[in-house]
Amino acid sequence: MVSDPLSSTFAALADPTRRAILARLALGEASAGELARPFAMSGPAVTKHLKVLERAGLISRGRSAQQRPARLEPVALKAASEWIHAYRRFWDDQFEHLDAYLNQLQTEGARK
Amino acid sequence: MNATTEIGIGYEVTIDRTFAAPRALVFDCFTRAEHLARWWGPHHFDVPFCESDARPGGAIRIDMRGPEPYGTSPIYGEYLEMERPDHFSMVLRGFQDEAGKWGIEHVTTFRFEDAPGGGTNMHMTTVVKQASEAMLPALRGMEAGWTQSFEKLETLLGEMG
Repeated sequence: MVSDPLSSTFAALADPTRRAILARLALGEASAGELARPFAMSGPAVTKHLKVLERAGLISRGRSAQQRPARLEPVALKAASEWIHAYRRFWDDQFEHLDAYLNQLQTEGARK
Repeated sequence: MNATTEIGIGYEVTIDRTFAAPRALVFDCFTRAEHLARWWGPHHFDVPFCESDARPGGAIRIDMRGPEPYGTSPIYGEYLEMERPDHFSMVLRGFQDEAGKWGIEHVTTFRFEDAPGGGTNMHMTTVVKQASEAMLPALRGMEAGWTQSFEKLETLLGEMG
């Protein structure tokens, strides 16, 4: 159902564990085992999260047979971050208008 | 509750703001069509058509009309919760492409509290469900007006200094 690259990025980011994994990977690449330790999670559970992150383009995984270290892919994250930035600006802009409108309403009200 | 995660991007977008108006009035500005039509939309946009059935399950439609090349973008949605003047939540969808896919879909909750001095504190939380890259230029275009006014202010401040 979610086919847009950005939508799958947001869906992947919706989970706090996955965000924590990304935060850990921002410090450098790590294997699934290394990632599992601080989260008190099973290897398969971490692997599942890594798959979601990989599909969303947020991480890539190395080829070295056993370890397959995960590393952060900044491009997808940057796209999502830009989107959020523009979105936030959109609302800020809206609220500027509401400020002005409220001001106008109350001035009119006071005059009556 | 914090929107910003360790990696610098918040999946949940939260915005806090204080308005210099009583809570019931601020609330009505967000939920009543006659008010919404007067302030909704970016700079240089207006709202030629607006509907808002402010009760749980009630429909919302806001047509945002911009200068060329934007044209008119209808925003559709439904209210999920409605507790005047405390909080409400809604799902909004917009920027539909030719294939009928939404460029944006988000669930947004607004909470309002009385602020000291008769104002109103607003707390907005959005969870983005769908987001398309195609919408970015539109958002950026909307942002331009905002940036321009900052630039004007900077120039002015520079002249004054």
